Formats: sequence, structure tokens, C-alpha cells
Amino acid sequence: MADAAFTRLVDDHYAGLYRFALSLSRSSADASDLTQQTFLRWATHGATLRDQSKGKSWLFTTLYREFLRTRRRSGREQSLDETFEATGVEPAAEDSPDLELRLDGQTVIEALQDVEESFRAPLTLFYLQDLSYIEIAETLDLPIGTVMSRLSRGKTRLRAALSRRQDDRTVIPFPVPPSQNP
Amino acid sequence: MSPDEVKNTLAARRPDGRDDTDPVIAAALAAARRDPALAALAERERASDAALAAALRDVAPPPGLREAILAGRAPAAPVPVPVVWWRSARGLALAAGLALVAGLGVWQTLPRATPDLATLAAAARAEYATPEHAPLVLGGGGRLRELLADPARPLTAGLDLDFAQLRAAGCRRLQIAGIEVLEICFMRGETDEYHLYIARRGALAPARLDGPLIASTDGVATATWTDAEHAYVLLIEDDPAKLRAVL
Repeated sequence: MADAAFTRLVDDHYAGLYRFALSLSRSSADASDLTQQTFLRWATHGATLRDQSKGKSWLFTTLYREFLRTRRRSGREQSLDETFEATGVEPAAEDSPDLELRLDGQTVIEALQDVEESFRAPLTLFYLQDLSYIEIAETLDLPIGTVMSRLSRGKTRLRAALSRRQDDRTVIPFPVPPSQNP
Repeated sequence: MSPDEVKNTLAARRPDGRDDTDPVIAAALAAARRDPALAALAERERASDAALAAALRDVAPPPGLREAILAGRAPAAPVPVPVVWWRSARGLALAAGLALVAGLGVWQTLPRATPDLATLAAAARAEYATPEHAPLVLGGGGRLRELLADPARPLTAGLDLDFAQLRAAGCRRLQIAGIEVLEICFMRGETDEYHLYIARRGALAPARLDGPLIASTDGVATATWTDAEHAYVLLIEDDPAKLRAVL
């Protein structure tokens, strides 16, 4: 299995897949399992992919579906629409100015984990920068407009989650709506 | 493009600029350039996104994960989420399988009844839930798999099967309820996995030739149908709509 092509595929994508899995599952052990399971599926099915250039999208899509499958089996499934509706009120927009930025990966991943899953999945894929918004839509099986909307609203929620985690000296920059700009 | 549309669109623009030639993103950027407030917003968003993306890259996978993947090992342990068996599709299916096996033990002592299509479907679900089925087996039958994978071909249009050839091609052979069943796993699209169980129609109790019957139990959906020669159980996880799409 560990031929050169497979090794290259693993080296190119396993870290990103693990980060995506970690934001979804909130557990390093679960994220490792999801990442391994994804490559195991590649080993059994990846060769059937007609367009090998879509390997990256295939891996992220497969990991996301595996996560949904695992969650459904655990009985923890919650309707994304319900989640979306239940938390439909936007968090108050912070009015912090741009100041020094001090972020570390752990803080960001924990803040992402605070955001509802319907926003978290597209946000994480976006910040991983591996996929375009069109590929994110395909991976999550969402309309493109929904992805754009969730990214925009999700960023507001992520900033709110980050601001709760920052100490007094660290402020997260965020875009001020045009009407508030000087 | 309204300011809100510009803002929504630019929220999808990766901070490294790779999306800037995308027509939708390019239109939003052009609109932003004509409005100083929007231009400032776009730049602040890009800087913020770049910082967050850089921070996310700091999250390192655990040591040994890469080696474990390359070694092709299955996860060392199941995802450690407590699962009550009767809330688990596999647990339910396994229980159904055990019940079926137990039932077959009793059945052996009773006058034999020919299994019907519903029995075959239940047994297929149980078989699918067994550990032996994972990772999924890609059986033989290359020409048939090409037909199965062809998105333009409804499965109910006929599959021109030859049991002997399928056996020779290395399809999985199962004994379910005393009859021989062949199984082929195949893909439609890039990620949708289907599992087709095939039996000789004559080995089953007579059934009406109704159209495909679709049922869904705990996240495992099945479609059952017959043609003149064979009986079929098609199985997929998650989404009955994906069954309808291929029939």
C-alpha cells in the first residue's frame, strides 16, 4: 500500500485532514481514527476514482461523510437545520479595532469547536485553504450560496468565540461593516 | 452587486489570493475597489483570515499518525464514543443477524420454508453489519461493475447476469438462508458506495413482480426487486434517495 504515490498523497493531505477531523470531532483520538479510516477507504476505493486530480476533494468528502456516519451511529446526531435555527441569532459583533494579533493553533481550533457544526465545517475547510468555496460546497453537499453565507456568518461567530478566549491584551481584528468605517 | 453580496462573496475568498481569478470573486473585488469602505473591509478580512489560517496550520497531527496511515493499519480502536447497541445501526443489524441465526437454528428443526425477498434483504443488512464486511470488499465482475457504475444506466433495466461467470470472476459468495447469494460492491460517483446482493429468483419464494421496494432502517437503506432470472437487494448507508437515483 505504501507505494510512492500513496506516500505522497498522505504527506500532502494527512495534516489537513487531521485538522479538519479535529475541528469536527473535538477529540484527537477520534480525529486520528477518522484520518486513518479515510486513507483506508482510499486504499480500497481510491483507485476507482476516474479523475485522480480530484483525490484531495475525495479525501475531504470521505472524511466528512465518515464523521457523519460515526456520529449517527453514536446517536448524537442533531439536525443541522435545527442547529442552524436554534442558533440563528447572530452573536453581537465585536467593535474592537485592529490591534496586535496573537493567535495560536490550539486557541483557533478550540474556538472553531465552539462554533455550531453547520458553520464549523465550512469555516475549517476555508481556513485550511486546501479547497475553493466551490469545492467546499461539493465536499459538504451544500449550495454555493449557502457556503458563502455560512462562511460570512460563521466568521462573525468565530471571532466572538475567539474574543472570549483572548486575554485583555489580545484583540482579534475583524472587518468593520462599511457603514461603521470612518 | 450590493455591499452585502460583496461582503458575502469576499468571505469565501482565500487569503492567499488563489481565488482572485474566479469570476465571482473577481467581480466582488472589482466592486470593492470602487468603494473605499468596501476595499478597506476586504483588506481587513484578508489579513484576519490569513492570521487565522496560519494559526490553524500550527496544529500538528499526533506523532505516529503518518506512519500508522502508511502502514495501512486500521484504527487501533473504534471511535471511543459510548454506543448503546439498540441505537446503533450496526448493533441493530447485528442483533437482527443473531436473531436470524438463532431463528435459523430453530428453522433447521422445522419443515423448511423457502426464504422470500424480505428475508434476503434482512440477511443482507445483517451481513453488511458484520466485521467481515469491513473494509468493503471489491469483488470481481469487471464488466458488470462497469455497468453498475454507469450513471446513465438504471439498475432495473436489466443486468444480463451469468451466475457461473460471476462466481469465476471472484464475486463474494454467501450462503444466506440456505441459498447462494453473490455480492458486488461498486461506486456511483466519487464517493457513493453501493452493495448489491444477487440470488437466483427461483431459489426464493414466489413474489409478485412489483417495482423496487425501498426501505430504510437505522440509516441503512435497501431496495429489493426481481427480474425474470434474479432477485436483488441493493444496500447503501445514509440516503434512500441515492437508491432511487440508480434504480
